[in-house]
Amino acid sequence: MVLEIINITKNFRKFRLGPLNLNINNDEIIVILGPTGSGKTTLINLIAGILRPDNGKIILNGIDITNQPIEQRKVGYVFQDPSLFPHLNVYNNILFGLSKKVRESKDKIATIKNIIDELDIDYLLNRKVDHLSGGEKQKVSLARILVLNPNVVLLDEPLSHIDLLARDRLRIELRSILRKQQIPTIYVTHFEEDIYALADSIAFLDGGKIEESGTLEEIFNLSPRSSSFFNKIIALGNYVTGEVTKCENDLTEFKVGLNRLYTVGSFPSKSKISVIIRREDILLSKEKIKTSARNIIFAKVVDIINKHNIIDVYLKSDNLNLISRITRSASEELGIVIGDYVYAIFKASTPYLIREEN
Amino acid sequence: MRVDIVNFALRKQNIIGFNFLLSILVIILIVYIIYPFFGLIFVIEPTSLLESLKRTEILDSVILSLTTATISTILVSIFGIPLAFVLARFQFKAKFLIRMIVILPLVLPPLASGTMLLGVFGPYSFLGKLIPVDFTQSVIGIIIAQTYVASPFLILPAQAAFEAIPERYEIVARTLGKKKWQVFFSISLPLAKIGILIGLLMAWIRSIGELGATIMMAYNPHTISIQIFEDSAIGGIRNSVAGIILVIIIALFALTIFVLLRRHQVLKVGW
Repeated sequence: MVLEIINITKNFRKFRLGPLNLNINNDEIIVILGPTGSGKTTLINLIAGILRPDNGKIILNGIDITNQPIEQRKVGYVFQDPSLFPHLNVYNNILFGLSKKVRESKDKIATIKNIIDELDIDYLLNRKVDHLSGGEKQKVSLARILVLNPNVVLLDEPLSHIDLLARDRLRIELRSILRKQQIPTIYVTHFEEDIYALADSIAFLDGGKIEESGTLEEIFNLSPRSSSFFNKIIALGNYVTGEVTKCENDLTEFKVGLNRLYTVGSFPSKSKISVIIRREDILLSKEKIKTSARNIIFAKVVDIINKHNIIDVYLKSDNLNLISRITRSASEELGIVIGDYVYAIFKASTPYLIREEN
Repeated sequence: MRVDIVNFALRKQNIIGFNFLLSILVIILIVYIIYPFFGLIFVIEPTSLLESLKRTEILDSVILSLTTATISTILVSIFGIPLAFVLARFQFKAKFLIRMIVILPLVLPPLASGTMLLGVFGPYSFLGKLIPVDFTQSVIGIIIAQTYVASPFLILPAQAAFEAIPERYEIVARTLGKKKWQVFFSISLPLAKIGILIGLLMAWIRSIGELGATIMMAYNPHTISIQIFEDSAIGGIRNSVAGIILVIIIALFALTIFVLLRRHQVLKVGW
């Protein structure tokens, strides 16, 4: 466990954060999702040392940092506003946290170069910071913390000031570089899209408390939640990750355990892809039928949840979990009960790709 | 339609009337400020001016003023910049009181300040008796008077400059591993640089022009202001023109730097 947050609380006049517990493992990107005013920034300000908790402990790499000054924590913090120092050019902003001696060491020079290359910002190095776009600024501020090799990276809605097109691209780059650097990361956001592109696990924060947390798969495959905000997000569909086995004519086959699934698009063999399949897109049949749909999965009904006239049928096939949403009349006609075996059917064009890793 | 035209014409007439009034007021003030300079041209006689400029007491007083003003400005900056930073960045109970104290030398007539300083540093005062140094009628006296009077001229713009820096830059610098004092020297000070330089320049030029407090603390040795005062008392403007011209040259030099700094502030730093 790299970062442990134990029973932390912080009181403000009109808001109380916690008591809150959170653990972050090595190499993990945890996305903390929550509406405005839920305490997201307060939480990471507590970890960074900008705020001090009223109670509780923060343990980083086995050391209690609860009362350590900000500068001793080795926490890399990328703020919502990139906050590049306006009196320094891009390169000197990147080097800011390094002492002169460290800057000149051979290892560090190589690391710095590597990070600059990874983020593809070498063409910016001599520029003044006020001539940079929002995305470029955030890349530089990320480089500025990565060269310090922090114990944990905190990102506070880093993409919120960036235009929509650049945001999608940056998300992918961000995950790729954070993965390569293998630094545990806390990413705070109110954009649900950030979850799909970045998260290994999610914590949902509301009213200063963590309502739900877990890995992406756990969260998507659990029963409906109490929080309506969270429900809205996970109601999007089934989150499935698999390894590409074959790709022909723009149709990709990927395996999830013993199951083979198909999606439209071309991906290199052995790459890992994650898709979302909407609950409404999965049809159920008691018999195997001949159909144009490419995905036909034989699965066991493990749970049935009634929501007025909509019914969510929870299915399991090997280690693949799916939820199909059908109408009450369809359910009654098929006579589905828990323990039945059914065929879950969906077209190759329905999985929505959210992540691809080679 | 007709009403509209009439309204438009009336409005236009109003605007013209207002602009005319503004122009008159501006012109009167500008002429008022610049007119004494023209007055000076009429009394200058090149030969006597050259002779006056050769007077050793004029040159000595200019050198004394430049030197003491520079020392005073350095003293003001050593104590004033940290004070400005404290006022800009820290919240504490006595803050309002300290702000008022800082402004005191600005609102007090310099002669009153000088008299009070004399009360503290005079030969018969507690300090004067305790420390065997000539605080009055000496270079030290001049520096004491100048430092006192010029201090707000640095502290106020420096405070404003520190306040204009978003605090998040300092927090970011700390998350990047810098201690508080390192953040002050690597972030706060460079970002407030222009404001501080303008303050230093103002404190310096105020020190050169200082008369009231200096007269009380150290009439001798003569600073350029006291020299002009004395020359004028003896022989009017014709007798003091050399000193005035030297002071104008110094002022123009300061003004040029001020303009350059302001340009830099507006164009490069942008706040």
